[in-house]
Amino acid sequence: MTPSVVTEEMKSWLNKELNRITFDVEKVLVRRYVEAVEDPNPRWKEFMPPSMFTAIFAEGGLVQYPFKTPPKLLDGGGEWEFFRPVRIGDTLTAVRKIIEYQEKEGKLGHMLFIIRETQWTNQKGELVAKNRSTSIFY
Amino acid sequence: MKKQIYFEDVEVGMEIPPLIKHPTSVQLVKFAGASEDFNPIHFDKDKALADGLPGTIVHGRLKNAFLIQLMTDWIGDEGMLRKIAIQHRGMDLPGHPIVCKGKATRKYIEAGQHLIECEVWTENEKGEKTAPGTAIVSLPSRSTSK
Repeated sequence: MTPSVVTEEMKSWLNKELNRITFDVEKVLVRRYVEAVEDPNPRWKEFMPPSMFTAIFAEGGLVQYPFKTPPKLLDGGGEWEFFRPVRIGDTLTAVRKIIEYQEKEGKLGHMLFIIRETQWTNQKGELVAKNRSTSIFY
Repeated sequence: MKKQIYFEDVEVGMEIPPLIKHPTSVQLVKFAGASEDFNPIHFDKDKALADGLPGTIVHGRLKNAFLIQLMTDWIGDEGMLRKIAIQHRGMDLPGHPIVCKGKATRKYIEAGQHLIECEVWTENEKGEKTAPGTAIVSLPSRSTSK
């Protein structure tokens, strides 16, 4: 059994704000995104596609952590709740926290699961989306 | 203009029209840029192989986007995606088609919303579900819309 890689420093970050960004939902940002995912729905000329919540802000990948993590990373998936549509021109703020660590032995060896929660609010302070994601480090 | 689907049109067990996507290496690079996900396993084959992977792999988040497109194409302008949960179980490689599928599993009304719960998944060429999940959408109802 590999000893736990979860340090006291890592535990001290549980349920604290890990990082936050505020950004404008610009037309070009959305256009680049819908071109990348090849979703030609004309609705995305006016609204932000909900899948952008799963992608932007490095959601899937290289989230910056204030501590050292094992070097290799896979995205375990996540769940999203959408509360109201986001229009192009809105301003969003995302706040991210770590809510849990889990460790498992698997075919890739000892794996550390970091479970994060991100909440998104718009310029009126309304909650627009919420996410829980799992990153797998090994 | 696509025809709007209504709550009354959906029966439990009904299949969502499948969406076929053809991810390429170029698409993975575009998605890396658009999503700021610069994990090299999506564009650097040497790094992917060194990490024990079969080659560069499709971003799990790109598969999420495909599954979300499956839903937003289906529900039309008056529907709203309320919730989606997706697990990344298997890896997909660029150059191989991904088929997004789904079916309605539950139909109910809650807090005045006409909701449909669905099972959704991506399928590879071998018929394996590489990203299974569940989604909840609200649809307009013929009984409440003008």
